[in-house]
Amino acid sequence: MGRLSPGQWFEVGAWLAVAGAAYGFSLQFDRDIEMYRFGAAGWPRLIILLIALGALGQFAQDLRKAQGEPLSGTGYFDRFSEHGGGFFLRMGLTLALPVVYAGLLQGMGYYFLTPLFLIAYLYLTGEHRIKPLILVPLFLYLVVTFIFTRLLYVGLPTGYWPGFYDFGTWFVVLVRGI
Amino acid sequence: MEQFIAGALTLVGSPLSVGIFFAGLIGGLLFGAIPGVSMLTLAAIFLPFSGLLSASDAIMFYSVLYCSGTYGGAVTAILFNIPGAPENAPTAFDGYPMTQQGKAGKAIGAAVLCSALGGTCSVILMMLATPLLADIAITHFGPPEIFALVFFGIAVASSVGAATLWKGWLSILLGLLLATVGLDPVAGIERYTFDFVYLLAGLHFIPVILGFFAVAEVLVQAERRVRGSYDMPKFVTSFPTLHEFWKLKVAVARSVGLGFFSGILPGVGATLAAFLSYNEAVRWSKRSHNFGKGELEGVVASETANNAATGAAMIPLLALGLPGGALTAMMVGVFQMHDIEPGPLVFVNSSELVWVVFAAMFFANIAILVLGFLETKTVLHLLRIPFQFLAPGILLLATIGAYAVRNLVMDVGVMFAAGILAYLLRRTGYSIPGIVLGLILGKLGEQNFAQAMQLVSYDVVTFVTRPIVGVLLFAGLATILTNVYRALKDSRKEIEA
Repeated sequence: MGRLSPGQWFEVGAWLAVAGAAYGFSLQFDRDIEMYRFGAAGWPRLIILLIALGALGQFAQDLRKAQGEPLSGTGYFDRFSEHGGGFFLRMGLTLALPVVYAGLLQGMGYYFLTPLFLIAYLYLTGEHRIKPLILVPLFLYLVVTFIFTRLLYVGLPTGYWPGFYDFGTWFVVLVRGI
Repeated sequence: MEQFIAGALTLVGSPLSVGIFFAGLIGGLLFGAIPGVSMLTLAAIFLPFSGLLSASDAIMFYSVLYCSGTYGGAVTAILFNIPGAPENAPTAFDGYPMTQQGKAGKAIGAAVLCSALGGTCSVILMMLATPLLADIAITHFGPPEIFALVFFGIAVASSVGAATLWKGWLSILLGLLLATVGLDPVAGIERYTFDFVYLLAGLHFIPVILGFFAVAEVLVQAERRVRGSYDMPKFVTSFPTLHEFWKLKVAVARSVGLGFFSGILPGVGATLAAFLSYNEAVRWSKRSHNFGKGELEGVVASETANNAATGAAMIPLLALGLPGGALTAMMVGVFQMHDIEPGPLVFVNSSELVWVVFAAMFFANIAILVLGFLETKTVLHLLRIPFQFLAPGILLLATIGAYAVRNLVMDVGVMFAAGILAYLLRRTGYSIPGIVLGLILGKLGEQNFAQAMQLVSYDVVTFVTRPIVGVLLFAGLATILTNVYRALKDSRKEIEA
């Protein structure tokens, strides 16, 4: 039997887990519909079955290719390990940053949070010179925000946490008054 | 011909009409390029004011907006991998790799020319054949045929963009699964909503597309910067040559046909037109292995088809009063605001209005050619800006675009989640276009399948023996089997090597 990389095992496991979870949750809406024989769960379950078959098919193909070959480690997660822990940490933070931003957006508001988000993104991706780090995001933020808030009247989240809401509404009034 | 000339003269007859024409043209180009905002936003904003204009000016504005807005989304798709609208998504598949290879000018030049060409051909066909084509489309294309068309489109797409055939299918199936989130199309039963009110309407495709394309690309470039392997794309403003276009004449003609055909079908429209045309270009090209890596034919196929669908979408609207999409649905509203009922009688009672629309769309497509080239000369210079400074702008626009769709912060969260997922999937050989196609076609496919089954009383023989259904299903199955055979052959060769 050929040797598969950890990444390939993870892939097939992830797909089967997705299929299994999707099937499990489909039990919640597995109801008959009077005028439709296949019910609410018929179509999703067909897709789930095909996903499981597809995952096993990919797995079988990986096995065939791996027969007799040394462990190649060409998967994404395998290449990742070449770069060491520092790279992992920076990429992990870069991926987590948008999630944190989206999570705080409702409470802190677009107007306060966005420049910080952009500065943090630039810093994580290697820009450490102070001037471009501060000025570029600020310039983009001001121009784009002016266009959407003042010219197009697109409403953006002002935040609802104390202090942040006040800042957001003050900023909107300021920009729209220009 | 006289009617067309009369329509054209009405168009230029008053300064207001000329002003409305250019407002629609430029508004469509600008708004069409902003994902999440798009031409539909401008159309919705303008709707209440359209009652103040004459019927011909109001309808003319929307028709011109439709033409220019459909092209507008191609520019950001090519330069930044951010399609302005779903119908521009296939343009990004090859347009953005062309930018990375320093051929942005070629890609945008091709998009300009093909959009103008596709739109102009579509308008000419529309003028010649509206009543006849509308009748054929409506009487011969029902839910079974639309489902079979979706199946065919998905079967062809499974071979595009992924490292292996299995990964291509898994990509599409993931998109189809995501499309089931929300309410089922038959009885409105909640599926995968987890009692979240937000998920009742399903995942909106704009935030998902923004995530899959724009955010994922930013993350991919971020990884390159973190690894220290980032290279600035080369900056060259050369446009495609006539010889290059002449070599693609078959692809252009096929894309006009596919786009026009898809545009006539109510509810199908420019998005399916673009994907179908791209898929067929892959299938028939001698350089199919180059698609997804910067093949000009990919841009040509997508942009010709999506603009060819714009004229065709007017056919069911004008001839039968059936809107083909969101913009044409708004146009029904505009008609009704002016006490005009779109349908066969509009050709009898308001024929001059119809010909103003035809003339406006014709000239709009010509104007796209001129304005598009001018726009290209200026917009291309954005590529001189290092990507690490463009990326914050892209993230900003994507955030606003995702939020502006429904004023929901959750859409921003969905966008970033989709971006991270797409980043990981891209690095492991899955096809993001495949996922997007599955997501967009999933609901359409399921809805039409359910209606089709009820129509034929679940008799499979009746279903597959409908001529158009039979042909499309056979073609789809043949495509799948051919792809499987090729994949097995290649796999055997690899193992033997």
